[in-house]
Amino acid sequence: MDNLNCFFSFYSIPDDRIPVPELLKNKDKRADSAARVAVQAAANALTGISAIDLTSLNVVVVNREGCKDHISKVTNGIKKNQPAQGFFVRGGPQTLATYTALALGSHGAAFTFVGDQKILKDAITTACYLACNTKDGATLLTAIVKKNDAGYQASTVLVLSNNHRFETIFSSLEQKMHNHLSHAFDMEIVQ
Amino acid sequence: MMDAFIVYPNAYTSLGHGEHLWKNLLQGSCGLSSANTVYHELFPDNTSKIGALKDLANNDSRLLQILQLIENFLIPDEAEICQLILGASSLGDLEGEFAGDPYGCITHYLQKNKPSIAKNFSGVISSACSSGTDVLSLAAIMVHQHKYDAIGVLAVDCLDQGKLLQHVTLGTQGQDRARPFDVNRSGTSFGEGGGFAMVVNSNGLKKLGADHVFKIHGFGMSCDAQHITAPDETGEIPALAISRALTASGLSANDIGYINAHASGTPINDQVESIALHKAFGKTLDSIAVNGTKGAIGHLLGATGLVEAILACWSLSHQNAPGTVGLENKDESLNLPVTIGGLTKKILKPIGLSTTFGFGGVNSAIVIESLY
Repeated sequence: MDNLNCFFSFYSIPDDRIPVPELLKNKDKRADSAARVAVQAAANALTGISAIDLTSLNVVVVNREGCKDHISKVTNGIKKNQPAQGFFVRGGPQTLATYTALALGSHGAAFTFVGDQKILKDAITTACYLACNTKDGATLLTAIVKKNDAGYQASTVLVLSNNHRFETIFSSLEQKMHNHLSHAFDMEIVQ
Repeated sequence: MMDAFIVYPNAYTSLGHGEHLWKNLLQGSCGLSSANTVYHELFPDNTSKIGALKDLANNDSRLLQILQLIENFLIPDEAEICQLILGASSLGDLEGEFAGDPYGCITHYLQKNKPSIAKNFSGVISSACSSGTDVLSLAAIMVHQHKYDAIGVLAVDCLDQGKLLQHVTLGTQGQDRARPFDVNRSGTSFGEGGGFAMVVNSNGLKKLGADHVFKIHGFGMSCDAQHITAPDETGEIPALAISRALTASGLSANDIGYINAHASGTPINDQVESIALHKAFGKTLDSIAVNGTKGAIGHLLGATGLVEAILACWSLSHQNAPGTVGLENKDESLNLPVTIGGLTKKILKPIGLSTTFGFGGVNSAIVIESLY
């Protein structure tokens, strides 16, 4: 497997009291807790990695629930005919990817797969293709799971290409990526 | 070049579906209605136009009702061969059981009404208003990689009264109606509905006897990443999505004969889109047929990208671009060769581009060719 380099990382937080990540402090402080986890997981994954062209860094997130805290605020507001500012940009599942891109300043693709473990293999295919089909391409692929209504865990794979056309990824690497991302769904949070 | 094709594209909107929808678009008809006729209690005096579907109850999941309404019209029997079903939506309902959970709603609907394809439903693509364009592109990746031979893509979204309230307050819902690229534009007309298409590779194509086939040449995506609510006013990053789509397709600006623009009708978005198109196409833009459809059917939120890509397919196969309903007085400062509502324009080349620009700064473009 000489045309893809992968870096793996894992992030967890045991409760919902998630501070605004440093990378967002001067940009937007109103991210939903799930989006804050996405940003923090991305920041951790990129620590110590310098050779990334942010112009072509893609951000892909896998998540089942989206920004439920924000949706609850919006839904409760509607009952009183009160609109919530920025309900779309702060409430949709895409927010997990767009807040991450905002925090990092990346200009590649930014979107979220909404689903469970079943969609991981498709997310991996997508992430690798996007990394390999843009010049100096890279994709940050993160699976984020809310655990037992308290806390989150996130598994991240940073996929870097060496400017080769992506034809097919070896099944062993695909399996390794899948296993790592599945950790977010399977593992209990370490207190 | 991608081994990816679109077959059986169809859309359901406030202006109809299938052949009926296409004829209405060509005639310059409009499917929009006044907000106060749809949601009288909340908006008794609001006459701004929205693309709401008729005869939906307000006390049940609107997204679920739309799925039930469109199923017999959009999803062909051939969809049984799809090995994967991918959804696209933004937020879906804002109230009730499926509030902010279109994945849960689509899963519920498919399991109850389409069990034969429900087992292959794996998730929903969420990238705000670009969701529908992106689901096409991601399906193209997967069939091109031969992970699947046939994928069904279903984009659907709804405009419940809570969502309309948000947009009226935000100022994105226009004061009267969507007037894309018009000097008097004041915002878009939000709407609802859905689209379905099958994305197949050469193997999948051989299994089907599709009458009309559209090739996906390539796509491009970018994210402004400069502000969570405001677009990149320089147009640089949206232009990047378009130029990436052309590069990925192995094509140049000269190869494009038609652009289905996002054309939301908000003052800033139309301006940014205009700048982006000029940056990506240069002087070539003058020779391209450009239109937008939100003035006729509304802005279908998370479904808009797929529905408009489908309308682009139809325009390319008929070599005819319907006019931009709602556009009466062109904003000459934008300098776009956009077709006025009620007119049509001949498309001279079989390859076209469909663009979407979503909240959060997500930009998407896809290049499609009508083969036969």
